[in-house]
Formats: sequence, C-alpha cells, structure tokens
Amino acid sequence: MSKVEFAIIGTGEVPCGIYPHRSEFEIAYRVAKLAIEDAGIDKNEIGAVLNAAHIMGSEFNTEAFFGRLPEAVGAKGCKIVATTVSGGGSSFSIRKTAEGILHSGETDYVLVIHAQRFSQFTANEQINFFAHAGSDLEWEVPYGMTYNALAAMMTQGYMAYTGTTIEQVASVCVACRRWAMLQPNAMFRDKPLTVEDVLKSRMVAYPLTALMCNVLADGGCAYIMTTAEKARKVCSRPVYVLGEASDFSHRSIINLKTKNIDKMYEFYAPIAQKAYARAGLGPKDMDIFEVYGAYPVTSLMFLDSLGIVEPGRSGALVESGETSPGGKYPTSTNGEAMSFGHTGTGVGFSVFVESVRQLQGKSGKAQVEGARFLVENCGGGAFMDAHVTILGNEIPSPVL
Amino acid sequence: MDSNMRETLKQKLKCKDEDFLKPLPVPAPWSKPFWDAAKRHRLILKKCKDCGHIDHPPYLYCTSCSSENCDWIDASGRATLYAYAVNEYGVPFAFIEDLPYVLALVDLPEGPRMISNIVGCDPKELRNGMELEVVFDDVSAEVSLPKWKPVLK
Repeated sequence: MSKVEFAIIGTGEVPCGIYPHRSEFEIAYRVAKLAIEDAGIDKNEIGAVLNAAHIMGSEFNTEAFFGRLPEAVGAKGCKIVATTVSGGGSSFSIRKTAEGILHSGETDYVLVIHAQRFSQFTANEQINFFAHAGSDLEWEVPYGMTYNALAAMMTQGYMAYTGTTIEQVASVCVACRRWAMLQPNAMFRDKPLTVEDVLKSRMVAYPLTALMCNVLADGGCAYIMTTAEKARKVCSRPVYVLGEASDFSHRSIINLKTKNIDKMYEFYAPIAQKAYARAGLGPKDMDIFEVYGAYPVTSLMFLDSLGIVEPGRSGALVESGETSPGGKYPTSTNGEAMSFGHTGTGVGFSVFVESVRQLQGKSGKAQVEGARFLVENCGGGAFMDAHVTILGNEIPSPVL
Repeated sequence: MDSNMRETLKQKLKCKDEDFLKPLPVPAPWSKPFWDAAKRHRLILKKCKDCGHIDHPPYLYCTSCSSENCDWIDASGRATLYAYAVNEYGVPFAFIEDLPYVLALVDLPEGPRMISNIVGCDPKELRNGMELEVVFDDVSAEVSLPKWKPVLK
C-alpha cells in the first residue's frame, strides 16, 4: 500500500457539445473559475497552472505555452506553467506532472485545465487528423486507415475471438446514453437510445455503426489538486488519489504487446491489479467503474480487466444492465465519449472530473449513493498505453 | 473520381483539390529499402544480424538489442488474416471513390503483423485466419503498396 499524498478538492466543467461561438479560451477561463470556486480557495494561492494541449494545434496552444492561462485567470501567485500531452492519456500524465510539482513543495495548489473546440475544424480536417492520431503516416495512412477503422478492427477481432455479439457491443452505447441522460453537461442528454437504434444507424466501418462511434465536440473542465495533508484542512470532502499504475504498449497497433485482441486484459489487468494493491483495495471495494473507452469495444476490454467479470464476458455484463444506472457495477457515469462527447485529450479529463464529483457527492441525478471508492482509467493513441487510478473520499485503513 | 462528385464535395464541405490527393509513404532513411523493394514487387523485412529480431516497421537500429548490424530478408509473401474492418463512410476525401474498402491486420509467418488492404475479395467472404498472399498496387510512378488477397484453394 502506498502513502496517500495527493487529493483533488474542486472541479469545474462546461456543457459539452457543438458550441462554435464559445472559444477554447472562454472554456478554459470559465472552467478554471468554476474549479477555484468549487474548491473554495484563494486563486492567488495557486502556484502552478497546467493545461492539456488543444488537440489539432491552434493559437490556444501557443498562448498556453507562453503563460496566457495564469494571467487571464488572475493566478497572481503562479510560479510554474506547463502544457502536458500524451493523447487520451493526457489526463493521467498531467496529473503526474501536478503530483511532481506538489511533491517538490514549490506550491500547495495546482490548477489543471482542459479546453477543446473541435467545431472550428471541417469534418475532413477532423477525419484526417484522427486518421493520423491513430495510425502511422508511413505504414497505415496510405491504405486509407481511419480511427474508426482501427476501432472497427479491434471490435471485429474481439467479437470473433471472444464470441461477444454485436448486440452486446451496442449495449455499451445504450448504457452510456442512460448515464448521459442524467448529466446536465452531456452532449447527448435528451435522446434515449436502444440497441436497435445503434444497430440500425449508418454503417461507418464494419462492424461499427455511426452510433458506436464517438462524436467530436467542444468542451472542457478543470480541477484543483493539492497535498492530502492540505486537503484535510481546507476541504470538507477531498478526493484522495489512493493508487495509480501505468503501462505502455506501442505506437502502431501492429506492435500491440499482447498480440491477441481478445486478451487485452493480459496488458490491462496487471495495471489494474497494481493500482488496487497500491490503494490497499480490491475490485469488491469499488463502488463505481469510471471506464474511459471512447469506443464500446475498449470499454469491454477494460471491464474484462478490472476483476469484476471473467475476461471476454463483459458484453454479457453490460447487456444485463448491471453497468447502467441502478446496476451493481455503475460504469462510465458521465456517459463517456460515446454520449458525453469526445473532446480530444479531454475525454479522460471529463471522466476524471466526474469521478471526483461522484466521490464528493456532487453528481446530481447520476449520483451513486454512498460511493466511497472507484476505479478510473485512461489511455491514448492507438491503444498505446493504459493508466488506472483508484480514488476515494476516505483513506482505507490502515491509515498511513 | 467523378468530377461532378468532387465539385459537389468541394462546395459542400469547403475542401480543396489537394484534399483528394492520396497520402503516400515518405520513407525515412531506414525504411527506404522496404519501399524500393516494394517498387520492384518484393516484400522484404529488416532483420538484426546480431539477435535475429525482425522489426516492422523498421527503425534506425534493432528495437530488441539496439544493434545497427541489420539485413533485409525476403518475406514469404504469405500471411493470415487476423482481424479486419470495412470502411464504408467517413474516410478522408482521397479514399471516397474506393468505398467500401477493407483494412486488415495480417500476420506474417516471419513474425511481424501489418496493416494493409485486402483486395480481390468480397468483404462478406472474409474470415479470421484465412490465408493471404501479397500483391502490389502501383499507386504512383514511385510508390507501390503491398496489399493482400485471399489464396484461392
């Protein structure tokens, strides 16, 4: 069991969706203010302002690199500014950066910001960018590779080798939608979804239909991180980082460490086990499973790895409704990329911020009553890496 | 591509003529032998002379032992289909006229896995584990892409 050193004390978020007139600067400033207010701290006590790169590059990145965010937020005591990015794993790598800064003793408060506005780019620009994000320019893109095709190949392989049905794959989208309908900031919060709807939607990359593919959107969120010691003094309900673990596999999907798509748990499960062990907890202690999949198949692969179901049987678990609101294994409670909306590096941030809200009892209609501990994951690129975090609103005994 | 379709897309989606150009591999010094061989319709792989590891994609030095003492070997030209997808919608403009087309993970008996297209086959006939053989698509005067087709029994 590791010493509990860090905690999150406040979060801020804006609605996710297509908001072309809301700039990424406005998103960043707004979510920062909300997070500072939620944490109840003096903005001038923030000693570091970190942000995740705005994916596809833009003026925002240049401005962030050179200090626009602490100036605009009015963080007069800021000493350190940095942009961190590792694709969909950014929410984790930025947190490790924040932990390093807090560990150094330079400051007690780090403000972490994510802002993204995809709607400023054309559909073709987005398709091209994501083809390159998920695929190798030299070896894959010349073949017409796309991100959806990557997820489709993984889905096809997973189904073929585990016997998971396409209805079970679709049921992940349905479960996400049920959660999103309880979330005021979710992009798809108004329209219920059935397995039939998902299967009948336009075929994009067989076996993936349109409703199995996430939708790029505009949004952002922020949080305040501090030391566990400080958190106890300034916050009535801090959320502690109890255990974390990571691993990296590859750049190109052809060099996937596990080789077998149906056995992704061979890569993911040891990471989860390490995170559980560091927290001194196990799967049975988890009240929520904040899975970041971005595509249904990835969610199934993670559920296969978290110790709650026999690997390869996650499709049946989701189909049973047990991961939906009211189920035994509440999963992806903000609706995740598929129904909350995909904000580039921000999906992991929105899942993380929702994790904190759940443990602070601030998730409104989506609140899982009495939640104490949860497991959260993220990862980026073409399934390149995975990071698992155990969070809790209490430190499990023995208290260190 | 049909010129009317291209004009419609240009107007509707505000894209430019260059958006319809197919992306081609730009070889690095360490991968150039692969593409030079592909141009001659030969499939070769980079093999370390010291530890025997085959790297695909090839890099500057062996990713297993860091040796720069490497050879290029002829691949058998055979593979098996591991998993696949059929792109039907939402692809870069340059690939719209190819729709639907198959992307696949193919396993070479030499060890590496590759991403490529499966050609010469109705996507409905695809089966995980089916045997494939390499074919070369001369996509430009300079570039040939190795692709795969099912072996006829």
